[in-house]
Amino acid sequence: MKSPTKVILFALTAVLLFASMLQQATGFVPVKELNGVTEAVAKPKASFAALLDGSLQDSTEAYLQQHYGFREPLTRFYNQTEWALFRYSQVAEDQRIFITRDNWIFEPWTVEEYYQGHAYQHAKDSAEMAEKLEAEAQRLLEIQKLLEPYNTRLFVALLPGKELVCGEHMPKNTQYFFDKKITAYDFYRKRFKELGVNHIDLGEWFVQMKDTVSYPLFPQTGTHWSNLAAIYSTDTLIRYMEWLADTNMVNITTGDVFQRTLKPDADLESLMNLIWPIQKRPNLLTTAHYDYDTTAWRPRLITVGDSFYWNILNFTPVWDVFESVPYWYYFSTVYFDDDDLSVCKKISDLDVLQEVIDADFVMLAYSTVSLYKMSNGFSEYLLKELEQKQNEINNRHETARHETRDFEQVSRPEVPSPESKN
Amino acid sequence: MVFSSNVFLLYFMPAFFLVYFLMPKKTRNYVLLLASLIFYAWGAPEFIIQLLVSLVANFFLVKWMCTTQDTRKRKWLCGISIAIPLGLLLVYKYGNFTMQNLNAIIGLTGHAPLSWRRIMLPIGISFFSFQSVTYTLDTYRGVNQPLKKLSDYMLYITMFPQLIAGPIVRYCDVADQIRMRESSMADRLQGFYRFVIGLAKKILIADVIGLRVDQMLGAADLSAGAFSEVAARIATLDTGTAWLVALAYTFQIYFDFAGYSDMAIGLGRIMGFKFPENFDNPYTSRSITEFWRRWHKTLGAFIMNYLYIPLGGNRKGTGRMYLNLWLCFLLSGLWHGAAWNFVVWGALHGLFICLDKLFLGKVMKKIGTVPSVILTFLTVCVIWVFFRIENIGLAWTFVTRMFAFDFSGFAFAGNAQVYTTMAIAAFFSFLTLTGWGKKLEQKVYYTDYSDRNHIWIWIIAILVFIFCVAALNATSFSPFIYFRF
Repeated sequence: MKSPTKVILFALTAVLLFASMLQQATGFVPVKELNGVTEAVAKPKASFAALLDGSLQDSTEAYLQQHYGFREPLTRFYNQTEWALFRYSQVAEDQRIFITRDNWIFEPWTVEEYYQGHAYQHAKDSAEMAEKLEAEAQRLLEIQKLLEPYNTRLFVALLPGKELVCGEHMPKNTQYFFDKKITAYDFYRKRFKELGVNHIDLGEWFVQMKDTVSYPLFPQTGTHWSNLAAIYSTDTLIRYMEWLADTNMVNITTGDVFQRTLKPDADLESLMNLIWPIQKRPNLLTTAHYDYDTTAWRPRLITVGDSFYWNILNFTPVWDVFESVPYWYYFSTVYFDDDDLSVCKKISDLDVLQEVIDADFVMLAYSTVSLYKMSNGFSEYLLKELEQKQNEINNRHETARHETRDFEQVSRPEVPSPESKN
Repeated sequence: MVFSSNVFLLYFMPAFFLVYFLMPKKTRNYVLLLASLIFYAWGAPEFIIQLLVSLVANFFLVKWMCTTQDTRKRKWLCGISIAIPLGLLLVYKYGNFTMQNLNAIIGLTGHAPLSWRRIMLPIGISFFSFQSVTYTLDTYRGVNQPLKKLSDYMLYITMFPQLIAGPIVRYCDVADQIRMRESSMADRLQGFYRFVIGLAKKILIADVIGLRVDQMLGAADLSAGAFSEVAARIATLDTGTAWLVALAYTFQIYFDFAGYSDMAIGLGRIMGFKFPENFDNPYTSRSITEFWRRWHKTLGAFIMNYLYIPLGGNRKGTGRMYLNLWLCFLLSGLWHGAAWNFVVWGALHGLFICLDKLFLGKVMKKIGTVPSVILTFLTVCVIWVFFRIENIGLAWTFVTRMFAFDFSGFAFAGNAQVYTTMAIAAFFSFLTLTGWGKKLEQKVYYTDYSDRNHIWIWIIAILVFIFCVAALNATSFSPFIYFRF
């Protein structure tokens, strides 16, 4: 007679073996998606030729690896076990992130930047990089001058990267021990001063205040500056813009600081896809409010920048401080365009020159790690457009001068008056 | 398709067993045959037709051989029947190797090399060719009657559990089981446990260690660019690193191969087959001779029965015995891979077996168990270098680095996980040297469990299975944080 225990165990084995297929087909157990971006594998297309040459088999295996049932909890289960037993993480192994002994997490390019190597990964040698940076600084200076008649103020916000502020947590003994070179950040802060390019160096400010503030400027396992750092920086940026335009703008005030242990800013840690988060200090947060002031000027601000600006958009009342805040993310995608806030456009959909001329401020907001590619082609594009427009104006003036020499007012430049924007 | 893949574990295996056990007993062999052909076609679709044609031809040749009374004709038919699988093996496995060497010789004479199209190696050909030979010879010798049904013969050769990597199941071992077998619930469960043990050996030990070995030595088939990089690394390897890499590979290959055999034996047992054991704690051997009684036992048995003994074995004098041994191990080396490094590997094993017979065996017995086990293990470890590194010059450089006593720059890319895994591998490799280790092995592998023990072991097996599936996929999931611009 068959033992019921064995029959039950065998039946349970069969059920468990089919559980994955069932989950894949029906999704009967709700599961949390895995964090991070991977290349999606397309559903294989069956054909006899593909079957014969083996490509169908390969693509099917790749597809099933990404879509089998319970993939998400199983991946987290494995990752958590590996982390708990060996402090091992596949994403760290693949150098997507660096985890230090004290469980601080950095992106590889911030580690490179700390060891003065990041910018130089993108150039043949240091001379070529210096040439590129110098050209960018010169272009910005030129644009700044050309925009003056339109009352559009261009300035650069040098935002601090995690490596600049949290250098003491940097991983040691990595392969990034390059000869000391000048970083893009050091280059620009020096040259902008010499050339007179409008800029505000928040990096220097962060380094000065990091030991004096009681709240973290960067989260332990996140990549971007903290909520508090972004809010206080926004306040500083508003004051800088007030100084630049010599006017009064809407100010912001910050609320009380409070702790939040749930959902901390841990985008780097999230890549590890663990079940339980890494132990760390609670996240300190605050809220920012704008001061109601009907007399204050609400300018139009265009920001060209990297992902650090998201924390300003997410945590501060910029929509109340500014009339509009279009965000030209890496000069590629356009968020919060005046026409429709909910739609994100491509930069090619815009009349960049007109948008810039219509703006009161154009801020290039780049963190230290991204500075080597600052403006992402914006300055080259805009300068070309501005020069072309200037040539057209000059040509028109020239023609007008020849045709109606007696009428001086014809040669008035086509520059909108400051009042028309303010 | 390999056992340690999603397609097999989560789709093929559940679907196959569902259909297999739902079908009436009479039809189960057909289900298994069909599944085996699908299994094989998944990995080598272009070769399936040749395989089927050769099987059909061989089946009828053997049938003809068994019905004929003419001894000479029987011999001829037997020869042709053996020549078919061995011919396929020669062409597919050794075609490229032969042409490369031929062209090398032609090149020395100053003539232009012969042009040839590289041949893809069909998976599992080394195993099913040998099984085919055992079928012919066992029926020729009258050990077993030939199978009556073509489908049963095809099943014997292509049965998916042992098709890709063995064990080499001799026809006489399973002839009766193909015709009739029983699988009790205990068999099914214990087969599943055995499968899970094998899966864990492969995924949790061999693959983890293998990753580091590959980092140091590159992939098994190095491209020209990678070759110079690996060669430069090996040339400056410090002694500690070299030994650790060799040790890592020693464990990797054992747990990989033994794991695969365990999975095959387990799958077979679920269906009621009793496949022969392939490994018996080889690293506890006290000599190389003993090592070969414990390592890849089914290959050893095949070589003994179908090569060594037909060559004369030890019946034709001492000198001939040494020659036969050497020849067997040279061929065994060549069977493992069509390259000179495998020949060297086989020759070195053959050399140590001859030395064992001459004097080394006695010395090893005299020095005691632990020293002899250590010495044998280290010898095997060094010889494995020639198995892993295809280029003989490079393998030799690696061996010289092992004995260079240069401890100037430890460069093994290990971490806590790898060192722990290696320690676990070492623990299980030498476990049976102790009395309680032997008892444990006996209890886990060869004892029927009580219902209560079944519950505990089942829970452990399921957890390990789930962890293996998780490991198999999680190690390949390495996302980026954001899309980079």
